[in-house]
Amino acid sequence: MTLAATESPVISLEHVDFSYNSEPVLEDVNLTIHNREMIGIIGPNGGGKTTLLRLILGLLEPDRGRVRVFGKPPRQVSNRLGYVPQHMQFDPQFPISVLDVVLMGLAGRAGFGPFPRKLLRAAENALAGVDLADFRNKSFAELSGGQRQRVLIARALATSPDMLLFDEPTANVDSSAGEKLYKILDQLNKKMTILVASHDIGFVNRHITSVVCVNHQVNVHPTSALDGRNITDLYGNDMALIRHDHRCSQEGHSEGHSCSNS
Amino acid sequence: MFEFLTDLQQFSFLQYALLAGIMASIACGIIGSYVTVRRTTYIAGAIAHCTLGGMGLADYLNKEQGLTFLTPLMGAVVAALLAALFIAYMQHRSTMRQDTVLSAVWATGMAIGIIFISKTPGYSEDLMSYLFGDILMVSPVDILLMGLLDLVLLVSLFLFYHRLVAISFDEEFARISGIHVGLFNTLFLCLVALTVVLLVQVVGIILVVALLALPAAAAGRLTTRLPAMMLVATLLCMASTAGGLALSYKPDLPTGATIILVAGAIYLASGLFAKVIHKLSTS
Repeated sequence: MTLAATESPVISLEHVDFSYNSEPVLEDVNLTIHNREMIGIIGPNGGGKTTLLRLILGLLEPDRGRVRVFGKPPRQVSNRLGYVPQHMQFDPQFPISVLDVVLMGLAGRAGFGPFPRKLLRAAENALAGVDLADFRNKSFAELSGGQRQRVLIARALATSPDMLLFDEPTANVDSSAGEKLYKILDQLNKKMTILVASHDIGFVNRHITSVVCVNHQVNVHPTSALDGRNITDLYGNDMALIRHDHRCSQEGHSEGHSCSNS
Repeated sequence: MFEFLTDLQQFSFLQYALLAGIMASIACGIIGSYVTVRRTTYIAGAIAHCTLGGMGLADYLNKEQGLTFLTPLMGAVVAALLAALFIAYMQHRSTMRQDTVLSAVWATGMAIGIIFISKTPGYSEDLMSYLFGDILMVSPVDILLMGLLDLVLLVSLFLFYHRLVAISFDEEFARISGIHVGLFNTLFLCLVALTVVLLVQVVGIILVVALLALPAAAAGRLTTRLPAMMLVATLLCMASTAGGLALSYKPDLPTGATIILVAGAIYLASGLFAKVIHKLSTS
């Protein structure tokens, strides 16, 4: 993590406030994330996880403070961001094939008219990357929750982003699909920064470098692999525990190294 | 039915009517499918009712003010596009509830139309033909204009298909992936407006929503991809307009209403057909 500490951060939020209809959702958020970290964003429903993601994606503007992604305002770098939304929000009757969903990731960069072959190949490669190459002509609606989610990952990856933002990956996905997901994420993490928001602590696997707790305010915790047998029993797979006894100071949060995995 | 076929060869008004039905069906199948998967049939309803204002005003200016080049169809095009732009603007720039905006467009447009129609000679006949359509009165100029509108639709579809699908499926993601959602949503509503104008010529203002929704809904049951849905919806719409025209001819039934009943029957039949197919494939 010494490398990460010397590099300029890929995401920085400084004194960010955000409210919906004068109802404060996030207050004085300071956050620094470095290249190729894998960050878990956890917190209760309504705590502001999705809002935090949307601020980083540039879909929302903060009331106060500054959001920078790759050193620039988020909207200027949206082509470098891959986003995987909650997969349950889609119209199950929408008549569309798996490959067409992946191609949507590229629709903004294609010229007008039919897709050029190069982009079709990029979409097919992205599907192959999530082990769904054989499903290209299936209906999106026919797939299981876990498969749909991988299609949405492929859609986000089709543009070869430098960062992946993931909203509620474990919602309505069974545990074997969850495991497959971790493998894909670990693989991707070698190339890019990953942010995963979840209300469920179960997704926090051993590869996560820091956990960001969001509940109106934001705290960053390091993760450390404790020998938590009882928790392993509960969740049934490799778990990392968050050291809630150790709270980083506000200054500590903005320093990536103090929140890295030991 | 037989009489319809023999008279079809003889009378040009029947040929025009059939041609108008086919022209309108192309737009109906394509845009009807988009509207159905986006679940925005009622936007089309609001735009359709708003065209009465344009038609009434154009007819008034034509007959009372001597602007003889103005036809109700031109008035309908302008009113529908204005309604579409207004709805698009309100969707993106205001927090007002969408159904409030649609109700306002729907009712205000109709009210304007009724006032101008009441000030124009031939009140009741015109109003009836606007509300319920009069495909037998379609002129060659109308058909030319309908062909032009179809061309605009097909070219837009060819150029912008993927962007329009992307904003329909997942607007937020479309925005992140660099698509100008506001622009393409406005374009989409303008295409809906043009389609509505075409369909108003065939079945009238009140029945437009049915002709947009029924063939597309039937096609949606029979297909699993949007392009196939558009093609099947176009064919079913052609079958409805041609069938309705033929069935209504001999007993002298209102053509627009008969077309809608045929479309309704096709919709019901598609449900049974889909059920049978499902049974066969699972047993």
